[in-house]
Amino acid sequence: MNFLQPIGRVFLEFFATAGRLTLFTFSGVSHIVRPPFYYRIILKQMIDIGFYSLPVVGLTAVFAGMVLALQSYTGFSRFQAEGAIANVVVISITRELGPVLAGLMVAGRIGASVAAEIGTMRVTEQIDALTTLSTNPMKYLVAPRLLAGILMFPLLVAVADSIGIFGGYIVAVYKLGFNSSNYIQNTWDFMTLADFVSGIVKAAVFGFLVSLMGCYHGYHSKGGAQGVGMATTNAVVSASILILSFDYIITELFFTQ
Amino acid sequence: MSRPIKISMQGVCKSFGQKRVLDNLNLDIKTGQSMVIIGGSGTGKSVTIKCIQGLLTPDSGSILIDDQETLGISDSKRENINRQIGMLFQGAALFDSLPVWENVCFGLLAEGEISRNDAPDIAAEKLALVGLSSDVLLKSPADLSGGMQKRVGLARAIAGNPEIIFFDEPTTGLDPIMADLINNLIQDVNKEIGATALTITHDMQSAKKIGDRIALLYAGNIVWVGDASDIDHTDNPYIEQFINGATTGPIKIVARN
Repeated sequence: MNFLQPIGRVFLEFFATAGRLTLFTFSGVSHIVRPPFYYRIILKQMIDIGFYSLPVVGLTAVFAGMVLALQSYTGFSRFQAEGAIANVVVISITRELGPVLAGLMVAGRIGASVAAEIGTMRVTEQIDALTTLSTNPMKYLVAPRLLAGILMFPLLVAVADSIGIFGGYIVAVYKLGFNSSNYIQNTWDFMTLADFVSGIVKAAVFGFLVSLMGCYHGYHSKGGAQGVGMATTNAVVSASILILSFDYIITELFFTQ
Repeated sequence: MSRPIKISMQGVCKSFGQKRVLDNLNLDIKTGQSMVIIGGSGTGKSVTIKCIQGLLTPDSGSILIDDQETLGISDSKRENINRQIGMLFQGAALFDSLPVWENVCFGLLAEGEISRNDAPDIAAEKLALVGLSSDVLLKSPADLSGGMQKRVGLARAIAGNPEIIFFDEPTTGLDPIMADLINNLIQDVNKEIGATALTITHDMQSAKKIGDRIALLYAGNIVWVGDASDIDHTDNPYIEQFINGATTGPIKIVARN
């Protein structure tokens, strides 16, 4: 019967982790809405997550838009459907590529840094020190990061959408010879509010997930530098997987009758 | 007149998996007394302090502070109790994202007892008590030596004039001169603010210097407790072996996995 032990251990560990994560999530969310509020920390996190992620998100978006226009032209020209490039670019960027690429890039940047920072605080007893100084670590460390993630990701994705569509415009007009005003007109005509809103909703969810994974893995890290390294890796990997999973779920909710 | 008991631990047990770290631990600390717990690595010294602080929850037993049960109480009651406790962590556990002045006044700022404008001046006063000048106020903890970090940690621990102070291995990792300086500071601040102190250490020189009473923890229980002045005259075999650093005797040396 010994072969059953490792199987049982895996199941028990899975359910224990699921329970811990659920309690952690409820606790983190409840502290977002309960005073006291650490406005300085929230503002700092919003700047860290939002402002400092702009370069990486912008670069990712502009090249995604450019590649999309180029690839669409290559494919659509076989069917004399080049005119649909603006349509493809705007729908792909606003619905999918904007939120997903921005989410994955920021998961690497923010998820890792949050996990490393909180993880280091855990292994150097700084989180215990917070508790002894009458400060709830969930409220001081976790809630501001969750809130900043929820608020700043939609703004980042709005910027990514604009830059991505602009990238498509650059390639279409200056490389493929499209008429500038026609391309812009087509972009406006094809863009719908639902496309944009679905992308923004996805962004808010992804922002929450990235911050949550960073905080959760950092908060539960142990064992010194190796533990912090593992927490960082787990935060990025789990956030990336959750982003792709929730992307499908939200798409299903928005666009399936 | 006998002083009232400030902290009372009765029948406290704590296990991690199969390993029982605290085994029916009983310990009383009187108001204003400086109690030192000595013992080898892994005997449960840190766990004892963490149980009193509420950072760990004992499996059974009772921990009273000022005759009030502290186990199973709400978070807000725990925060109220922690307001009267200061702690010097083994590695100082300073918040490396904050300058020294904000570290020292963290608890006071969190309580809203002082404004941010007043905090640097108050931090300078607290730092003077531990022999540091105001030159370090704006420095990051990472810019300080180990001994200076301990002193900043001590200033933070006493900033709120706590009724109870915990010292976790206060001299570990310091050279003998700096260790003696820290011992003197601990003696001074204990006299200055009249707090009840609980120190854990395996540094006998430090224990005899800062302790009124000394307790030896072995296998999760107190095997000897007495006045600091008595420790050199007792014929308790555990104490004799521990002081002499002998490898033979009642204290078994266990190879840890």
